[in-house]
Amino acid sequence: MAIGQQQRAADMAEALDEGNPSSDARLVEDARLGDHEAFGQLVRRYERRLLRVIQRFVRDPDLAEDLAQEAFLRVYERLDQYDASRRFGPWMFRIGVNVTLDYLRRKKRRIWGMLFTDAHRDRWPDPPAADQRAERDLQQEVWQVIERLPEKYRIVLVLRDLEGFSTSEIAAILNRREATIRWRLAEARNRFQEIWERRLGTGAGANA
Amino acid sequence: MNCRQARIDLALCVGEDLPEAARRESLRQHVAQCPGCRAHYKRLRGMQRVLESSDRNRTYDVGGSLWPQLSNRIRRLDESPGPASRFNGWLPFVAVTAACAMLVVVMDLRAPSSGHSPSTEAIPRSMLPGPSMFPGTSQHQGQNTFLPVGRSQQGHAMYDLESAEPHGTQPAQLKVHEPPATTDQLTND
Repeated sequence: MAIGQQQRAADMAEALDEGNPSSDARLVEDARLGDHEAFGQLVRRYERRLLRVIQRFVRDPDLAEDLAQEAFLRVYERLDQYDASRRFGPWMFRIGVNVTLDYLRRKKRRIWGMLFTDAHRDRWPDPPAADQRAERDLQQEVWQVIERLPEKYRIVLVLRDLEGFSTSEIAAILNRREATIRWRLAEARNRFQEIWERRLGTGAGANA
Repeated sequence: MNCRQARIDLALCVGEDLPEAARRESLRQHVAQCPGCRAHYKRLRGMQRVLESSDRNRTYDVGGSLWPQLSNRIRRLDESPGPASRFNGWLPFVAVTAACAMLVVVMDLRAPSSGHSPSTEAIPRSMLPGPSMFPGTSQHQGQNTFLPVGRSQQGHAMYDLESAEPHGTQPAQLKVHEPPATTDQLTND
């Protein structure tokens, strides 16, 4: 398994598996009863993972933090709506993803097309690798291709191939059937590959 | 399995997202005999490697916990008025609006129907002055066949209308049944 995959799997375990559903439910119940510290534990349990996901769509770290805070506030306000028979993680990520997408849609409405033309000019965190420039260039190239995908495909591709959520988790986050998510994922990968090759001007460029 | 279905399944296969073993076997058989899909699978695997390598060393700006700032916002949220109290803030506005609407409805109901002429709408019969206001005009009582009121009332109403609209056209019924004696008397008054 590649290093990136291992890291994603570890992150996923940290956020979803180690976030014990039963303890999540207990914390939610305590928070509903007014225990702020219980909600604080939930926030600390999921905040890093949520920030990672949000930064997939919003590059500015400060903005990502604002959106994460907004997402947690909405989670807090809607704790009464949470169905304790379901897992807390996907429900929380659904709110986080929706907050992020709502922001992007508003931004897109304000200045049409800004989403795709300006995103790559946002600040990128510097990778620690020795060949930073090459890494950054590849990241930007890849992200420019991802951003050309329609939103419904882009979200699924990012959550699955970059964030490592399973298709069943993505189905829960996006409130869609898993079969729908699989179909979108296949479409997203095929479209990404097609755009990537067209961008490089060669049919074999992606194999390099 | 055709090539179109195979390419969907191949895209799932590169990420180990093809769930059914039967489909995987069917896909394997198709790819074994289809050079185009085999080449497509290689390109998809290359795409997958690109995605992974682009993300391998990516770092994230994750500072301190969000909780300290968030807990302050939640505390303020809890201290702010609840939905019921927030709704109460709208009550005065709603009450004034409802009162205005009621007033408009009541005024509209009191107004005569649109079938009447404007001149008769101006002064309802109930508001016309009584006979005592024009003494000495009772000799014309009975000549008016249009309005079942006293002649003096009729004469005053016509006087009012004429003085209000001296050059305007009068309603036909008022002119047709205008008693000359009444007019003379009013002029003499």
